[in-house]
Amino acid sequence: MFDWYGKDWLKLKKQSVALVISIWSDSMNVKNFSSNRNNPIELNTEIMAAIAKRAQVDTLGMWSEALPLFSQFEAFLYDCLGLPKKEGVSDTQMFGQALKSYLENSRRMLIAAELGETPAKVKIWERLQRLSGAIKSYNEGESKCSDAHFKQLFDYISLNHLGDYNYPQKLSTIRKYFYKHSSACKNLVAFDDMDTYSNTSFLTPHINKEELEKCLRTLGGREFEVMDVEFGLGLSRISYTSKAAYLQQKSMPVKEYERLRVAALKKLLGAFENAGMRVITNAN
Amino acid sequence: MQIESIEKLVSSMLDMQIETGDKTDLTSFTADPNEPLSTDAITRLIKSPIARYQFIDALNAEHGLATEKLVNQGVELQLVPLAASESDNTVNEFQCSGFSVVMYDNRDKGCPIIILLQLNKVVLDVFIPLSIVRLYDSGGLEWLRGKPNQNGEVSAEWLDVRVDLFSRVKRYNLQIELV
Repeated sequence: MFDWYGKDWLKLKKQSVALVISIWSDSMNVKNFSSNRNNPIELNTEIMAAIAKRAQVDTLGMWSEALPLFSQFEAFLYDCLGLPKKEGVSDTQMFGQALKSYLENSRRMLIAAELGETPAKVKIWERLQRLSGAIKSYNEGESKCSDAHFKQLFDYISLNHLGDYNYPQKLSTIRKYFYKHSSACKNLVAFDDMDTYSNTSFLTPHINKEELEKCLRTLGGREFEVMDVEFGLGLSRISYTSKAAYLQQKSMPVKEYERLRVAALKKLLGAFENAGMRVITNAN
Repeated sequence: MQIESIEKLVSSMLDMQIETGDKTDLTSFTADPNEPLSTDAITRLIKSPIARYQFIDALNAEHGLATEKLVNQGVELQLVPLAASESDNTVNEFQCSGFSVVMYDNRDKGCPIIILLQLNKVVLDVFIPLSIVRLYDSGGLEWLRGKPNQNGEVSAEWLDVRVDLFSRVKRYNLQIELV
């Protein structure tokens, strides 16, 4: 049912990023207390263990498919140590972007590796490339390395060359050829398309507001304040006009605010999950 | 707590959830975006990121079909830049076959601009109950988003005084989309 490197890739990527960032940000937070967890080898081991543990119980097969993506992860973590600092971009954002690019490249390498090299396949690629060029000339401005373009090629082949094995007959095979051979794919910088899955507004009518507020009240003082400021909840006794006003009032560095925000959201999620069915109200 | 605040909070919180996949019946998860969600479906959607992603995929596919249907019927989902529009009036109305936008400008009385989006019946007919609509311009600015009421209206206050919506409506297309 699931095709983790194909149609369900975004799901796998989003979950992998969430898991790695969670472990990575925990390790950054304990930097001053234990330097061991900042060591790429330690961090890599911890992440691999977390994925392997999930793979054992995962009936969806997602985490088993995630494991091969991390084969070069230790080298990637060493590379990340040398990332130049950018003004206005947090460490987590920078690491997150690099991680997404790493995962995209790993996926492309894994898919391409399935193809193998034979003279017949090189010829098929040449035909596909000619077709791609012809179709592309009608659709300027779109990337050649996109699912939309692969679909255009697939539709064209299905219409004009159905059953002709001089052309790839499946969408996934077309994608493999591009990942293996196309310079457009090799040079592609992954764009941030993961927000697709971040909007869960359809669930809001079914959330029990009282229970949500109870979960919020379990947070510590500053974490509660940060949630209040970040989401404009209006639950604190003192209200701040903006995040900037809060930071100034509390003399709090942005990094500390970010740490508190992530920690509070994690705790809140834990409390929310522990509340079980009480958090659900049927709004139908 | 405001609905918008809860939406943002819940979305950010659930965004951190990591799938365990230890629910044997998850592969069979389906929920029709056109039907009200059952308690069982809501429970699964809250507990499992993958179930949510599957549901959002289904919702987006429905949005694609609805948009395609409207386009095939020749319904306009965007307003071209209205270079000649006047901004001296208190009430400004712009319309096309899919929707109309009314802007109430009482800034001289210290009030923010009120934006009212009115979806026409032809758009409401294909509207999916769980969807929300967003109004944005081709310059990338979102004007409002929300769930239409029974009359197909969504309204919002525009509080950012640094952005002049009246000059933008002269330069950019105004578009709607289902999300």
